[in-house]
Amino acid sequence: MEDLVEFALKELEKNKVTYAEVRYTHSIGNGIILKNQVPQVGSFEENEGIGIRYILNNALGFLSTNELEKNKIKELIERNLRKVASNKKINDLIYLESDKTYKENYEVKQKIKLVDVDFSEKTKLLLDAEKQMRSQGVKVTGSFIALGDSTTTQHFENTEGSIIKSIIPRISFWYQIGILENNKVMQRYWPWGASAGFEIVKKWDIQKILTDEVKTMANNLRNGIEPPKEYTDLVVAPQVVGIMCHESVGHPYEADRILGREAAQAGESFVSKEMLNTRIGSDVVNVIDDPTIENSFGYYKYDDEGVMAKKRILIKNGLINEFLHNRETAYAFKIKSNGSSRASDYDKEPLIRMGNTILEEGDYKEEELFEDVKKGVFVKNFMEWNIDDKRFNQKYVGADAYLIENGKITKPVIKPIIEITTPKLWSSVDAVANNTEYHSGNCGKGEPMQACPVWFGGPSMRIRNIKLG
Amino acid sequence: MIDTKIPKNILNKLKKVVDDTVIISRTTDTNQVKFSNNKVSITQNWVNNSISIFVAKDKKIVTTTIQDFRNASIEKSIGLIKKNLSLMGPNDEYLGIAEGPFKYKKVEDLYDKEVVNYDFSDKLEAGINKSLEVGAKRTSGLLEASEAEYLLLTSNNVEAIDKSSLIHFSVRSFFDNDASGHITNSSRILKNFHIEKSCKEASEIAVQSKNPQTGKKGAFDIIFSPLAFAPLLDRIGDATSSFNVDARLSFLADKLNHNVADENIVLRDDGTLKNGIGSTKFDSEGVPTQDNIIINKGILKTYLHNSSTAKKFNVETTANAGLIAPQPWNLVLESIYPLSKEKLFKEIKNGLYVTNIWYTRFQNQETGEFSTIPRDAIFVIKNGEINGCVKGIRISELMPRILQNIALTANDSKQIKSWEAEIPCVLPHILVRNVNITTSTN
Repeated sequence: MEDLVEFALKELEKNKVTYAEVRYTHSIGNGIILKNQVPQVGSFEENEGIGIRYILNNALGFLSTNELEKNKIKELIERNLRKVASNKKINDLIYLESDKTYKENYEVKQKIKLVDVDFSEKTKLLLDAEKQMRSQGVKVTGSFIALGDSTTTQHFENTEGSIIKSIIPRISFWYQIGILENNKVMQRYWPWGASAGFEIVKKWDIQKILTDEVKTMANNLRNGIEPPKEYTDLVVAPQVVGIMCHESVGHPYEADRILGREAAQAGESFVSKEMLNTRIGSDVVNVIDDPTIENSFGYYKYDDEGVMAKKRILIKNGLINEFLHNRETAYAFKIKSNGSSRASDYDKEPLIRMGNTILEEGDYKEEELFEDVKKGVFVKNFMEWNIDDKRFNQKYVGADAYLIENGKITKPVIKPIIEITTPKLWSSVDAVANNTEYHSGNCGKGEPMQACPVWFGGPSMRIRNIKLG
Repeated sequence: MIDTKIPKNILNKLKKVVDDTVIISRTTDTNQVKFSNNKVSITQNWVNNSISIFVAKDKKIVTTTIQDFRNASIEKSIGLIKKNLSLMGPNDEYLGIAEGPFKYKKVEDLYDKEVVNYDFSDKLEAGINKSLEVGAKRTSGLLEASEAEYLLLTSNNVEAIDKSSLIHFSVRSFFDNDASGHITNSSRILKNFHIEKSCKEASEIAVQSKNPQTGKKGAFDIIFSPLAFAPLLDRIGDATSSFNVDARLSFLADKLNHNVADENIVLRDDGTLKNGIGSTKFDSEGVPTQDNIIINKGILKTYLHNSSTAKKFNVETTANAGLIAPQPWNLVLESIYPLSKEKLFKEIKNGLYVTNIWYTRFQNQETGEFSTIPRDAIFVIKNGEINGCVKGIRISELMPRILQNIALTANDSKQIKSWEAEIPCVLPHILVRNVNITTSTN
């Protein structure tokens, strides 16, 4: 397919483009889903296609097809050039910040290749886990359990001379389980994901994950009490910290949102360029986004503009430190791109996306966070959550939660609701532990929608004097 | 004209080795212009062809999609289907697909050959200029035009072709960071498709919503615009799928023939709707689509089914396949005694007018506990008149309560497709009583 990539670049150069990049991707995927212990469907796919982005007369064009023939590609390029030209009176002037050129091949190594694990082994794994889950004496009212994987080979080439080839395998597992206990129902959804071979699934221990989940939910419904009504301290565990970092730090620091480019879709940001180096949290808050974490779900070494990925320090000692950039926003901010441009597939334009967004560790052990809390709540994970499209007002409804009394964890608490603004949240953090965990998700943005694999996480942290809903 | 030779060849090969096969060949051609800050930020084109395959043998189900139509690649996929069938466990809930052939009626206004190549640039420029003229400072959005052709073949004597086009326009105008309005306009055909009118309307909402105050928590009567209620109707539609009912992922489970809404309310799913964004002549088994009454005068009359779920529930299919999960085509919400929009507003002494929502998330799909966030203009209504606007509120509610508390609707139904509502919806302004509003704590 390299000849097609080069053909497309040459066609664009013939048409006097000032920049062009071509991504050819080939992806093999498999998925299996169980509903109430019944295998619903096994699916497999092998997709390939080409995505082409270019700048002509400072206007941006993108085209994509899975018709991988030179004449079809030429025809589509010509059509897109005509469409771009027809908008000449209203086209924005697009400039990309310069960057180095790279020639590299990289691959995430797999001990057990995803393509070598068949449906029978996956079905057995899920059925055994579900059977174990249903033998815990908990009434399961409904369950979905799924395992999916993809192995994506990409060839990236641009008119500046970069040629980057990659092979990234990704695997994910998710469940949605409902239980009935004490005449009340409760549901939990949670995904797991990594860039790795099938060996990672064995490490996850799906049986234990599902078993622990239903036992924890049952305990909450059986023994849970109402959350405190008065202002109280809160300790949130890595899963909750992670979603808070993703929603209220990662998203509002996407520079395309800040500049209004996604205004009619994913929205804008309460953060502005002028807020760089101003305080958003207490001085113990340090949040990073790092796509280079090996085997992470959000892993990549080069972004989809050919920029080398790096760790980004979004909040440093409570101050807004850095935004997520592609080459277009980097030009607008007069800096270099920090490699945040990702496309979920060959047929999507690259947008600014998170990789893995993490609260950095502090010096405390998790148990030390409870020690001087007279009365508070420990929220280990959550159910419903959302945040407004400027990323200012957010809500998290706790699932596995406990009362803290005089420094000790006591009774389960039912549905503590954290409804809080972003500055209030991060400025109320007074201590950060050292028990980092990573959790996975598929982050949505763009139109057509692009779901990008990410990790989010960090250690537990303590938030002082919050009123729960 | 879509190719039939390769799909028929695949069907003939698979028929020999499996019990049921469904082949869906699809070609799509899409143009999109995305704009922000009053300028076009990118112009995009997509052309894709694919063949989706569903097979069942001894109740084992495997699906795949082929994009490479060379013989070797097709043979490889057929080999993998056979191999994977032998490795799958049986789905005892699977009870077969419909037996054809069927006769199909034409659904009106689904295809306009002018759509995909129409040059919208002048109209878009005029729309952006209109937004600014009305008073918006900046405007963003998207204009997409596409056409698609489908061929459906099944091992049960179905061969059917459908062709459709679609134009979708979405515009969000800003007076400032806290004052915005969002309007969408979608149609299968060029007739009655208005860019400038949508831009004017979005800008008027934006200008009118300047200087919002922080909203208060409590119970409020709320009028939802069609765009604002569509994501909630989308979730209600999901809850009508028998697949979700069976998995206890529906707040409508166990509610058949029960009162779930005001007796003034009717909810239909109409796959045959003229110019309907989700309209199609046939479902994924080839069954001719129909107009299903889901809620009649407040009573839940049916869930949505394919042949397999219908047999399990001991009813007839509603022609909503989805081969694994039944799905709505066009949800149509209306009331028996609608009012004019003006009269609907007069029904409110002290309430809110919500023009858009976003990030709707369930806490529990069986109980229907959820929350969602009003976005863009949120107007205060005092004695039937707009009197200021608010920001920073959240709707934290139960979906069954929302359905029960729909008191009245207007007579201004509009077709909605939006970022937040994947299922096409046709609905008017809707008044819901006593909606619970929460806010961030200080």
